[in-house]
Amino acid sequence: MQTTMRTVDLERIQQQDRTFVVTAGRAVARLAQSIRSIGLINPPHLAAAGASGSYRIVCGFRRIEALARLGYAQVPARICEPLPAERDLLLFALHDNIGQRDFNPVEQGEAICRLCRYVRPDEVIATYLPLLGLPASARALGEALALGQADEGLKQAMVQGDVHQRAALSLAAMQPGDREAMISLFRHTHMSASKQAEVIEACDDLARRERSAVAAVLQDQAVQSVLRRADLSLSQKGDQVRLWLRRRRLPRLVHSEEQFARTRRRLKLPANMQLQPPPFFEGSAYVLHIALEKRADLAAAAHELPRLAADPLLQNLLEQDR
Amino acid sequence: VSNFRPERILVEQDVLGLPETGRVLARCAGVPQETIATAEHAIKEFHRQGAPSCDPARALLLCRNRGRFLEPCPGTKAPYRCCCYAILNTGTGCPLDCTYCVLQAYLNNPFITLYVNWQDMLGELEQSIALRDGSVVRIGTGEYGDSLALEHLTGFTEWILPFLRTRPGLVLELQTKTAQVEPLLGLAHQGSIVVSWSLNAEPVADSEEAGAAPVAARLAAARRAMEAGYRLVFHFDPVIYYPGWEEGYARTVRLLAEQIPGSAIAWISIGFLRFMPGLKALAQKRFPRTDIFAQEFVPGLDHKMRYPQALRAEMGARLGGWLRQALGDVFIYLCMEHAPVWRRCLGLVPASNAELKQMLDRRVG
Repeated sequence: MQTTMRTVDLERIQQQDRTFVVTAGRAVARLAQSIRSIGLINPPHLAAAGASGSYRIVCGFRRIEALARLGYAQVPARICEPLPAERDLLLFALHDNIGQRDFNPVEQGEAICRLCRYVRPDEVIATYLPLLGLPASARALGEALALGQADEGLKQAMVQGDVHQRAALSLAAMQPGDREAMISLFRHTHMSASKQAEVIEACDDLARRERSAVAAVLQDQAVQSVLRRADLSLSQKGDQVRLWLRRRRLPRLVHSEEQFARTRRRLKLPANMQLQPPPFFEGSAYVLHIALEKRADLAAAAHELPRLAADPLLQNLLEQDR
Repeated sequence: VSNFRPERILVEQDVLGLPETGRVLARCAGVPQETIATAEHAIKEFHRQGAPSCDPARALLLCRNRGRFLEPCPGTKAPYRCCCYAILNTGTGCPLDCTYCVLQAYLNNPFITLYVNWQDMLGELEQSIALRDGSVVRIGTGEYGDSLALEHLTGFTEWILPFLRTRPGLVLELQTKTAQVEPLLGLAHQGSIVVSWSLNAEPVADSEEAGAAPVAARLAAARRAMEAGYRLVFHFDPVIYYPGWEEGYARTVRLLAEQIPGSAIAWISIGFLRFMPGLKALAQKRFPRTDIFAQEFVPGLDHKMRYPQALRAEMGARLGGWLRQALGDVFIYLCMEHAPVWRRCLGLVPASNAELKQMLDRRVG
């Protein structure tokens, strides 16, 4: 791309035109500090915006923002001329950034959304998804578009690390009120990606079951009171909310688990014996583990087993499914 | 519910000259046709394109089956009991588009597909030792699609009948949720065909089986089949939990008993909604209003999601009780269930899959 160096008045640069932005959620403060220390090393690329004498930014949004913050009135810039096609300017901006860093998922999504204005979907899939480090598939395209088109609140929550990518894809498909409620929950708790996914699924299930909204599920007094507690860490709050949701979502399973735990306590098993129920109480085979460190442990266990076998609690447990 | 008419027909080049292709195309006069190199290529293209050019659920693909036509039902893993029937592959996919259909997640091929190399099928069936020595008694065409949904286009049942008559004791089960029995009514089936309907509570049928015939229409069709001399089978599968399920399923049992005497029924199966975990997201994306996957499910021992065992046992026991009360000593079995649920629902447990197979084989043998 041909360019001409020129000094441009900052007020002639259309900072609000985001057509070629491929950067999201990256702080400008450190860049401003760097420019203040040693000046602008790499002048931004600009393109004429019609005949108005103003310019659109092709590459260097953050640099121009930093210069504005530092009070510069003019900026040295590379002007792309003769004026290339928009598609070429976008590709130029993309390649300029790809060479320097990895894109976060929001940046990937926004870049793909913009590319799709100029490039056929199959070409985006084959050429540009791999360029951005994504698999060359229709599914990856769909996910990138969903993130690129997500509302600003969700994008911000992703960039700030409050919402994991997998969760964001689910939230992007939700009603705005539900999405905001979920983002707020994730802001006020700390959960891994899989726990966020579990919570989203639980809230969605409960909302469908009760024909209400996800936001209504989260407005429950039980959730709100956990979130208000000052004595819990963000992780502990997340765990408590998850447990509450699980109890509501899987009432029969939780009931079986609690009933079994009570029975197991009352059986008073020796410390080296563990009784385990069938996974999810599916089936009827309970497993008794005996930990042995020495021969005497086996003899002690053998002595204990007849008492256990005769215990009516165990008999009830084993025969309840028969 | 009208007969399925495709919006587009894709024909594999290789099968253009087959009489079965000609028959389907003649019955779809006016439907745009496209010749394709191979089915595999068309499927790949579909998955590659972000926005496919046609709705695959309304497109009919005519192609050659390059695999086996006859195979054991995949069933599920032990300890769940399976009835060991055999599948006759006539195609894949179904225009009824039920929300819970496992084919959504199971098949890579999104098109409603008919295998039209019937002579190859016949060759395989004639060579089959299992069909000759009687180790396979029941075969069905409803595993990967609805047995009657495309019958008006194919005439398959009439075509297969002469073969069935050469294998006394062999029974073809046509499994459907349609009311399209006209093609069957004049056939001299001589007991070699049983016709089965999936039944559900009417609220479930209305919301989750929107492309299928209403329950009352299925039962009216079953009555017509019975009057034409067919033995009948009913599958309460998938039984779906919802608040008020008791009333819904009890009513369907009453409707069934009003139309069909127990003596006309070879067997009734009960199976509870179960699905591979990946199906939930897929189905909810395709059918955003469905809430059947939002109920309480736990992973089964076969890794499929199932209602908790206690709920299945309760539902099965009550449904089985209503069926026996309404229809008398009709044979009921559970599809893909294990011993604790069998015991609590029906008071019996087949010792093995082989024993369950025998129980069912004897009903038609």
